[in-house]
Amino acid sequence: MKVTREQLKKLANRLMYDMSDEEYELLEKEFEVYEKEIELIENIDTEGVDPMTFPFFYESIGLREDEPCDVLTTEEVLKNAHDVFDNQVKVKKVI
Amino acid sequence: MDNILNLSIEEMHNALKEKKIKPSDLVKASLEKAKGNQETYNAFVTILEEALELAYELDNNFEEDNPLYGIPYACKDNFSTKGILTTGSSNTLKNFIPVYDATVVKKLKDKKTVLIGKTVMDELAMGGTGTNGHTGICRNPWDKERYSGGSSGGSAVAVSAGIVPFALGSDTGDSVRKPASLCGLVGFKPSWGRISRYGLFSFATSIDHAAFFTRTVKDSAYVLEAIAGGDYNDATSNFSPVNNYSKDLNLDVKGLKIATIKELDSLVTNKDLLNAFDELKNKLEKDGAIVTSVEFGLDLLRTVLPVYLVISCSEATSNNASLDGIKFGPRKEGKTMEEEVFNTRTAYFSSSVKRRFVLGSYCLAKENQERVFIKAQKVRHLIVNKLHEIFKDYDVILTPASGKVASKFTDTSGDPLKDENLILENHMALGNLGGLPSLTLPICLSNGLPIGINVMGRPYEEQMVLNVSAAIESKFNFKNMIAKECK
Repeated sequence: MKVTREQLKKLANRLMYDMSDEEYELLEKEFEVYEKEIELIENIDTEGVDPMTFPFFYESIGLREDEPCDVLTTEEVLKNAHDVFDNQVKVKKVI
Repeated sequence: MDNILNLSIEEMHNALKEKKIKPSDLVKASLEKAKGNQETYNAFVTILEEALELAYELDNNFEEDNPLYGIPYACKDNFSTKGILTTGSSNTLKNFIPVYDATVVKKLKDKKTVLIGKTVMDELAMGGTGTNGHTGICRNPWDKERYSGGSSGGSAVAVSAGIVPFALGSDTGDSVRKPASLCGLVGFKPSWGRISRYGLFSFATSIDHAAFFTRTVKDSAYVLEAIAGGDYNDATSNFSPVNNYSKDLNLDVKGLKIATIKELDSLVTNKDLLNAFDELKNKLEKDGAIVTSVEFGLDLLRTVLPVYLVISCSEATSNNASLDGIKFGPRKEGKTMEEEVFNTRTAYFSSSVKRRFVLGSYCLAKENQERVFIKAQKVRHLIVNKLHEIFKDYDVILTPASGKVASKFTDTSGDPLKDENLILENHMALGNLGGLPSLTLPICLSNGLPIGINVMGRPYEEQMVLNVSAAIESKFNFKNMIAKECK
């Protein structure tokens, strides 16, 4: 099923950005290839096969003790913020 | 001593031990060469002049049992380096300065290795050409009109040009092993979890690997010893013991069972590569190895690239959701916070990355998730099962890392759906899907340009991969190659 420009735009906007018409045009061409590549996946029989989410099947190493370590200071956390006020990241009013 | 930068790590260490050179000599030369080559090859986002200060401090107190003492190295710009700009070659992070070191960076600091620069990459590791970084394209030191490959392009360039003897990279689909082939290097991606990823910007968490470049296999062993190991800051890292890889290197291949993949081999047309591969197989058999061509299954092999694309682009959309200019990174203006986030991401992600994210968004969309994303994860399971089936009877799998030399920037790309692209040029993602140790090293020159071979082993059998690779290296004359334009 061919993907439309409208669908691609919706998918991009859902990820909180937009693209130019030229970029959407290029992406439409790329999707012609992606769709054929996805067909290759769809053609494989996966009856009774579980999805693989990690390369290995192994037990968890367990949780470490609940003791503070490698703690960043507030100053460090805010060091790269664009706009800081009163030890907090400042943003536009949300309410 | 002439050309001290052309030495391997081992040779540099011996020269330091014999007091023929000092760490400051190495670092000074490295910085000069980095700056001298920057305009032509563009390996670096940041060159660290202050590295020389550290090197002077290291001129005394040499540690004889530490092969990496005083050795200059470069680091891909997606590893956090405390107090040093780390951009992921993305405008979304163009002013980002981490407040902590990645575990591997810390380990190398503890080994008194000297970081001389952060290298250019394809933005956020999403690319394979070395041309999608926010500070410009990387050029291949063998021919500046050709691709270096990516996404760890800058690190490959830095080692290939003889600026440093090793550099850190990351490998999610072949992002160290492919540029290694194109730049005549050893590129090693150990098993998933063998090296901590704490502090490495995530691209696709289930297939990201920390990896690195050197110019010899033994140097790879030295680097791996220094940076491998479990880390409680990385819950996916592995706590099994770290071998003494360099001391345990064993070039005897007698009795080893080596598989090659029939469907891959039949796609190779480059005569130099064909001849070298045949020559290699004959030499290995003469030394007592058993080399067998095995079938993987064409239909399944054709899905390796699509499965990689679906999984990586989907996971990437999640991993990069935090790049919004709010907590860090540059921020574009807007009337609301939502608008600021939207404007920031629109302005600062490159076109290529945005288009890949849309694919990820498509695969994860409710109406497609079962059909595409979950399906890809199931096919991944079948691919990995097949690999383990082969490894029941064979010790390593040997494949051409690429079917060709580095392409020129002016070359047109071929049909993406032909097996040459789907399989020959993109099969090394097998190593990522299965978390397997996988190493590329040069095997031939074709029209004066390198092509590599890839050795892949069972999970956590790094020693086996290094041993076979060292044996292969000993049969050819491509050890410690510096790119011809940079000698």
